Amino acid sequence: MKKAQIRLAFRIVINKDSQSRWEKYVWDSTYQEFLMQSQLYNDAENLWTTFKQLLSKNEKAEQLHFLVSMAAHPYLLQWKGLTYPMPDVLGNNYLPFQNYRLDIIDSSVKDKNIHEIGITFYSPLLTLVDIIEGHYLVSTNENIYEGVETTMYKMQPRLSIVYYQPLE
Amino acid sequence: MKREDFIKRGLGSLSLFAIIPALSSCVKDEVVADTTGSSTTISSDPTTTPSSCSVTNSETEGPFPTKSPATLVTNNIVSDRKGTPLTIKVYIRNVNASCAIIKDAIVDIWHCDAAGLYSEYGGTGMQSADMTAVHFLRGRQTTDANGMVAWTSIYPGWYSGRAPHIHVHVYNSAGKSLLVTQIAFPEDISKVVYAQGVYASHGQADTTNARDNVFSDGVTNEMSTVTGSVSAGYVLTHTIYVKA
Repeated sequence: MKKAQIRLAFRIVINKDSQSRWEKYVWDSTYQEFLMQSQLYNDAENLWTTFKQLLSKNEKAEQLHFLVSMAAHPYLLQWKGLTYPMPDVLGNNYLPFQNYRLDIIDSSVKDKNIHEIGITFYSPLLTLVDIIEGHYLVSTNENIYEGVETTMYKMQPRLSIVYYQPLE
Repeated sequence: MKREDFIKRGLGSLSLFAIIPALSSCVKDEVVADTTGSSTTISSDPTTTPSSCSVTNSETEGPFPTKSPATLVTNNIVSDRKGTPLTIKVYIRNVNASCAIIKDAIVDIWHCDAAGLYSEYGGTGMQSADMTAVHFLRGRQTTDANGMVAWTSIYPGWYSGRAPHIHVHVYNSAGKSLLVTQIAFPEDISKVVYAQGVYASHGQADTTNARDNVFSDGVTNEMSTVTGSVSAGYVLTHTIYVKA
């Protein structure tokens, strides 16, 4: 297998069915922010109810992905750079993340239950050493031609390689 | 792969030679992340008791979460941006109540940096910037007993086609939008600021208040008072009138 520098991205979806306390906080906080900030793009006289409607009427509402992310930001900082929903195969180490990006899947100024967001976590650059039985064998060390410490992440839905550069 | 999966495989292999069949037999009860990121065993009927089971993993919770106000709620909105210090003081008054000050109004502001750029998600793909500095030059405060909100920031730069300005969104205490407006700057002071420091390479603003398509209909109500100097920093004071 060809060795490569890669960046992994893992996306979670938070909605009315989310269970963990962290997810509930993020759900509440981002919904409140959506209610406030969406007024910038909405028409008070002729209120558009859902985010998708708003987007189709006013393309500037695209900004809401970013604006609403500000309400989630303090919760992302609490994770101190570790993607807790993405453990390695040992189960007690987590995919590190350098950045994240929030996207609003849909929301509604009338019905909180419609509110649904995605958060994509981006890892730092990792060296892809091999793929073994449906697992990425990766290292944070670039020089993999001597013995290096590695970790393994299982291939799964919402885990993607988003950057790839082959190594010699 | 989750921990219990790993254990299962370990128990399933009594000798090294048994590892391969054990791995392939595990495919059927694969553990995958569902939409919330928690783990769910694929077993179609919840009323059927499985032949074996293990405790659902708890890793998804992460560290104990604490309720936090939005990042916006901060006095210092400079983040990693460089520029001449500017203290922004905004007073909110009510047209519907004899121009009295409004306490507990929520005020959002945002403005561009010295190069004329706003914090936002750029294009598609991933963010490359340092995540802690992503939301620069945006802030939210609630008016105090004097109807005032204040921030520590930098003097905004300018971008083509617009006079220098700060955006403001005023809400009542329940978050209902009362007014979206902008604050204009005295041109003589902007000229001094843009001639020095990190602003100098970008040059002077290309649009005057009189030619600006937002302020040209009468800048009087939107013009701020700015005092200070490049060395000591500036203080902007401005009153916004809303119907509350």
